[in-house]
Amino acid sequence: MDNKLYIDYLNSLHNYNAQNENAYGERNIDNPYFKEVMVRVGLCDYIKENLTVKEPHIIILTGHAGDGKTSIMYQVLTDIGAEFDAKEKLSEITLPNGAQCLCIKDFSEIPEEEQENQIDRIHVMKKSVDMVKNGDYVFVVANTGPLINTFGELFDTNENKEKSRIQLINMMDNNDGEIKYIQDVPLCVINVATVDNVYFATEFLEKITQDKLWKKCEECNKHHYCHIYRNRNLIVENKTKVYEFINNHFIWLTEYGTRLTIRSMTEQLAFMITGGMSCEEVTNNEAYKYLFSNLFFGYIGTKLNARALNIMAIAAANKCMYDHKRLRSDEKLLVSKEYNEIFGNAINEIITDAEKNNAFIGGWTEFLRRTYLFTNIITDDVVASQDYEDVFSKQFKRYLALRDGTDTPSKTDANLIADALSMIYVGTPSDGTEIPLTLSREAGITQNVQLITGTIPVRRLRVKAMKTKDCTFNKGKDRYELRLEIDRTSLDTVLTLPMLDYFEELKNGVIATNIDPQLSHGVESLKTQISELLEDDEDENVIEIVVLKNSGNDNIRLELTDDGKIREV
Amino acid sequence: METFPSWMKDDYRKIANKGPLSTLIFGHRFKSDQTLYEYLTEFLLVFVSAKNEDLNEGKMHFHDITIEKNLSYWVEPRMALRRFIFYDKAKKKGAIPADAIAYREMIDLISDKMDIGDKELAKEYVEDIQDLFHGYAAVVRNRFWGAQTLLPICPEFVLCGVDPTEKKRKKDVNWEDDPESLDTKFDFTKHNFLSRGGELYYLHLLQGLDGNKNRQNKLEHLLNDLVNGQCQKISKLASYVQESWEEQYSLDKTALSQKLEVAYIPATGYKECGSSSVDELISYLSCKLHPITRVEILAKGVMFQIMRMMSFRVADYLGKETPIWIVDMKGETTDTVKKIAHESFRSLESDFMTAINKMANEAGIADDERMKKVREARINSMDIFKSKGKELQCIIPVSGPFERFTLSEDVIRFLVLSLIQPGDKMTLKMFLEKLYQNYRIVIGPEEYRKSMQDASMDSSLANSFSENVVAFQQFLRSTGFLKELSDATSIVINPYEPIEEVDS
Repeated sequence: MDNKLYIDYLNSLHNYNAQNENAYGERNIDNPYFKEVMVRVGLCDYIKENLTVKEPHIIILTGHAGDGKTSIMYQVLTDIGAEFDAKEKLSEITLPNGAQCLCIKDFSEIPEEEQENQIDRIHVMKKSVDMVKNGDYVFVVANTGPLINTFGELFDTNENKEKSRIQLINMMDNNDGEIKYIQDVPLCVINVATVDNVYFATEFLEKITQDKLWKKCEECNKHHYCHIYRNRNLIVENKTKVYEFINNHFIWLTEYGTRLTIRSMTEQLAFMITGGMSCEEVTNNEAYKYLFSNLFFGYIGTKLNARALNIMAIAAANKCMYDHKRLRSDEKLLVSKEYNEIFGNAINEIITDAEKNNAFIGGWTEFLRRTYLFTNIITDDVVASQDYEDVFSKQFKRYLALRDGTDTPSKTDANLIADALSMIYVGTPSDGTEIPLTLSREAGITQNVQLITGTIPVRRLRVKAMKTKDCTFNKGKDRYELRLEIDRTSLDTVLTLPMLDYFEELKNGVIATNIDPQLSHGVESLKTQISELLEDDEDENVIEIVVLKNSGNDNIRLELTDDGKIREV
Repeated sequence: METFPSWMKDDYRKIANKGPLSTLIFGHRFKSDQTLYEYLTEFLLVFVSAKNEDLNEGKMHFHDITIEKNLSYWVEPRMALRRFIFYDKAKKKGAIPADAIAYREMIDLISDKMDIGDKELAKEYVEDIQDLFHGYAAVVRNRFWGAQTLLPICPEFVLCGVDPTEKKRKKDVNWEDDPESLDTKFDFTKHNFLSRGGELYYLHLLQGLDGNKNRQNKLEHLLNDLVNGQCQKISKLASYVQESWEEQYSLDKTALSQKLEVAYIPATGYKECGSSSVDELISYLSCKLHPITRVEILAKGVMFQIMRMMSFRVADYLGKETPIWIVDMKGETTDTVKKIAHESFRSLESDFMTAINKMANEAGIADDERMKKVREARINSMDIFKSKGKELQCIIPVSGPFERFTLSEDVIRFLVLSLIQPGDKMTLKMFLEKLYQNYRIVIGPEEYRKSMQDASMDSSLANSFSENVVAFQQFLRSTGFLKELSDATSIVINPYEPIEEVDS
């Protein structure tokens, strides 16, 4: 049990045993292993630049609990060469340019009621403003609520208080990282919650599995059967696939509305290796049970371990039900059982061993799929993209390429949207020319005749990829978001992955009656923008209607003439 | 009781000793037959109609209440248009043989106007136009063809109430010699389905405007945009159909038109929320929404505001503080909030009954009539409140015990758009406060504490209310109105853009 200290550290990062003493940033930082596993965040360089090059201001770092704010402050201060005392609420340091910088470690921990020593929220806030006026800097880590309230209190009238609060809220929401003045206070607000953090998962995994932290395990007398050590080695062996899957999983979650904090990811990844067991508790178990691919989803072997679902990220992963989805690779995996072709030697051995007793047990199929997701060694591109489609969605791989900027949007992407819009408006796929926009109701009496209020020229539809703000904060980690462009006018609505997936379904004629309200909101705002942009400005007297028939749709254009007749045009 | 407008109090006095009791409390009048959409239609009907006999003044404007006279308005029943849209698709009850003849004439007339050689094709096009219109039907039910209504998306679709008076028409209509009689022998004054609930809402807004010209102009402009700005082509086609008929038979618009009169509301009670109603309506109408959705949500929002009017008036009449609506967002079977919400709903119900009984005493209703009159008043006030609340899905369950308030998706949408200016945002806390101020809606522990005027609150109760807020937050998020900044701070946003600035 030579590596006990490190394994205990990993276990202290999650709350499986309700004992995660290092889950809080300020506690974690004091641990000697913290330096070894810390992931460098691009945001630090940005803040460092703010503190050294830009004019004096208050820089506010805010975000969800567990988003890594404290650790960012630690990194910045260490970089500057200042001492970081995790226990002090306030400290003043000297910046390389000679100016002073007041560091407030956690503004929300400062008491609200006025204190004699003047260390209370309003006094600290006032002091910050004074410092900036004297040409010094202030660096605050804070929860949003107390910050907004106290900031408002700086101003005199109720109206000014309210106004400054709204301005601060707007800054947090916009999050463009620029210095702006509220009344005469220069502020820069960075909201970590809106910056992409998926990259953290694999970088952290890389750090916690690095060789030097595991050397001692080789000397341990349990090492030949220890699942913790085995998991670490298997992850390193199957690195490419494991990293790819984990990265994709977190992107998928984020896109579908579950953005995990850095702390949540840390918990899951630490638990995935240890299974919540200390060195003493390691016994000679069947190898398949505590395989990391099981632990990642909260399973032990073929059985669900309900307690593991206390870890939020595990519960979220479990809910995705990847292992319940049918794959086209199922045939090789489940029917012809070509384990030696699908897996590397070590995994192959573990599965073959386990199969003897478990092949007919419920949950075996899912176990195989979980193992497959993390460790298959299939190199065939066709199979790989089929897996993407089966596990995630048809549009997922394409979306990833566009999101990361490794490819640019093409006509095919625009056609997907054209087909979907055509399904929405007239119920048939687009014929590649024009899509009539209709004035229809969402519910109520069926409208087999609808008024056309404009047309979308399909040939002028484009999908554009636009750089997000992430690159401001994370150099080299560019991300793109997709927007629809009609006739070179770009719409505001961002095309999200759920929307693309929904469009794909629409295109294929799957009509979902109960779509997610969040999705329907996106689709609706897209529709509103389109109809606004393409509003018919043609002659008021020409009325164009579309008649939906079984044999196809008829477009009819009728003109009300000056002599009181109706003419077809 | 004083009335608004004040010069209507003689009308009030005439019934002060006999009722109907609900009219004495709530104004003239609420009636249970009016459907949800018809409140909006009727309100818009007063607004869009001419305010003089020649049909040339006051369209798209509120009445000028600085002049002391009856608030009359002249509606155009457009029976020919209704016949064109509904006659063939409705049951033939209430129709007379001449209607069938006129309907065929109408179809022939329009298809003859088609400048198309192929007569079959022309007929088909006419049918398409009929289908196009019928797609916007709002209330069909089992009514006679003339009483079916359309979504008020253009002025031509804002139609007045009609009673078939089958016997009278059989006798009086002379289709051959006097085609005008076909469309004028209906009874337009019965208020069967447009039973004046929308008129009350109209008066409520008029009272809320309180003579402020600026706000009045703004509201008029926005309402004009609602009915006139979006569906002009439909409007054009509809008036073409109606006018072709009038021309063909040389009918005079003023002869076809009907005079109606707005009655009165109580001088106090509604007034307390009148100004809010106007502001909310202005904010809602300023949002750029899909034209049809805009009307559909508005119908629900107007109903919700009418429920608030009733609730405010009951308290005002009883001299009590305005009741709170404790809203249960969790919909769970066993929960403290559910019970408290139910109690608050029940006390509101009993306030309605107390008010009705008090009025029965005041009016000096004789004992032998009392039961009947009280029952009638309940049906025409509290039951409307309840059944419309259930239709809006903001009173649950539809049937069964523990009736209580909740908020449904469309109502929440109306609330967000009407309490937050387009494009603006506020913190969730501010939004909850606003709901409390404007509607006395209680969702979270803080508002509950305020409403009890009691700083102490046991922690488990506070917890239950906090969970209620979380459920509300969840709901807002899934409808796209909530954005989490970080930590415990969420902001509620009105994501819609404002429509072009009003030039007043």
